[in-house]
Amino acid sequence: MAAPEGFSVADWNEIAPTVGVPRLFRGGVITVPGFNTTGWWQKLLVPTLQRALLFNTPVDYGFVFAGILRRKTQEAAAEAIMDAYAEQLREPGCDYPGVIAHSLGSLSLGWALKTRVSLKVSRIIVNGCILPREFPWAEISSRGQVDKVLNEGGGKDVWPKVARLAVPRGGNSGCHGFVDANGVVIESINRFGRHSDVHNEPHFRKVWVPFLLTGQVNTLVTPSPPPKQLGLLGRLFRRRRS
Amino acid sequence: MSLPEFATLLAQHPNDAAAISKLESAIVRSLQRDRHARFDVTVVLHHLRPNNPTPNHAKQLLAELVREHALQLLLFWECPNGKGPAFESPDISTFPDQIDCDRCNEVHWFDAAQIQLGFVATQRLQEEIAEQGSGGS
Repeated sequence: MAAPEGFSVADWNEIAPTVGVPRLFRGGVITVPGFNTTGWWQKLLVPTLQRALLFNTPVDYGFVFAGILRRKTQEAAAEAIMDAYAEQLREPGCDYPGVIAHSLGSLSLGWALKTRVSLKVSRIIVNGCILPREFPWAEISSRGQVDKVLNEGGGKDVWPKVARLAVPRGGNSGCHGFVDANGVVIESINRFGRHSDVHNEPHFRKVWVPFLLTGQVNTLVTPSPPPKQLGLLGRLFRRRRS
Repeated sequence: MSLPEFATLLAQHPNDAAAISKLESAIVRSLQRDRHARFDVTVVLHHLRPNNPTPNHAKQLLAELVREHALQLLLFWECPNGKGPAFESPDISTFPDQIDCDRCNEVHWFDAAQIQLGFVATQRLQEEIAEQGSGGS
C-alpha cells in the first residue's frame, strides 16, 4: 500500500468551490486600515488568519492623507466596509464576521455602524482608535450590531489626541477608553503604548484570534486613568517631576 | 443498481464510471462490516489503484460524495509532534484555539496546517445500505 496521502484543509478549500461544497472556515474577519497607510499590518496579519482558518476581507481605500478631514472620506470608507461585509455574507459560515479596525478605520467603522443598521458583526477590535470617548457602543450593541469590542489603546499615541481636535467626528478613545462602554467594551490601554504597537504576530495570535473566536481576552493591560484637567501650575509641576 | 448518491455521480461523470462503481462497492463493503468505517484519500487510492488515480482525483471524488450527502467530514487535529490525532470533530467551529495535547503533554495552538480531513458515512447512506442488506433492493 502506498504511503498515506493527506487531505488538508487547504486542499479542501481549493477544491470546494469547483465541487460546490462550502469551504472550511471558523469565522470571518474584515480588516480596516488607517489613513496614512495601505495597511501593511493587514499583510502581516494574513498568515495568522489563514492558520486560524478565519476568512479575511481586507478593506483598502488607499492613501487619503488630508482627505481624513473630509466627512466624504469617512462615508466612502464606510461604503467600502459595507462591500467587505457583503463579501463575508456570501461565504457560508461567515454571516457574523469580526472586524479589526485601526486609526481612521475605527472612525469609518463607527460611522458605518451608526448609519447602517444592517451592518451586524460579532466582535470588533479597535486599535489606535480615533472615535470619540462618548461613542454609543451600548446603543449599537442593543440594536444587535455588535457583541463585544476590544479597545487597544496607548497613552503615548498622539493620533487620537490630534483627531479629537482636528478630525470631524474624531476623538481620543484610543488614549483614554470609552465612557459608554458598559458591558460591551473591554478596555486594554497601555499607558506607554503608541499608535501601532499591537501590530505584531505574537499579539495577533495570542490576543486577536482568541478574542475574535471567543470574545475572551488573554492579555489585558491595566487601563490608564482618565485624563486629568490640569491647570497651568499643574502642568508645570508634572513636567518638572518627569 | 447503484445507490442514489453514486448514481448521481455516475450520471455526472460517465467517463469515470468504472472508478466510481469500484469506489461504491468498496465503501458499501466497508460499511457493511462496520457502519462507522472511516475513509480517507489513501483508502480511495488503494481501491482505485487499477485505474491509476491521482491524489487530486481521489480528493475530488470524496468532496463530491460529501456534496451528494453520502459522506460527511470528520476533522482531525494532528499532534505536531507526530503522536497522532489530538482532537477530532465533524465541525470546524468546535475546534479550540489551543489544546492541552494528551498525546505529548504539550500545549498546541490551532494551526490549519495540522488539521486533516477524514470521512464517515452519513446517516442516510448507512440507512440505505442497511435497507439494501435486509433485502430492500
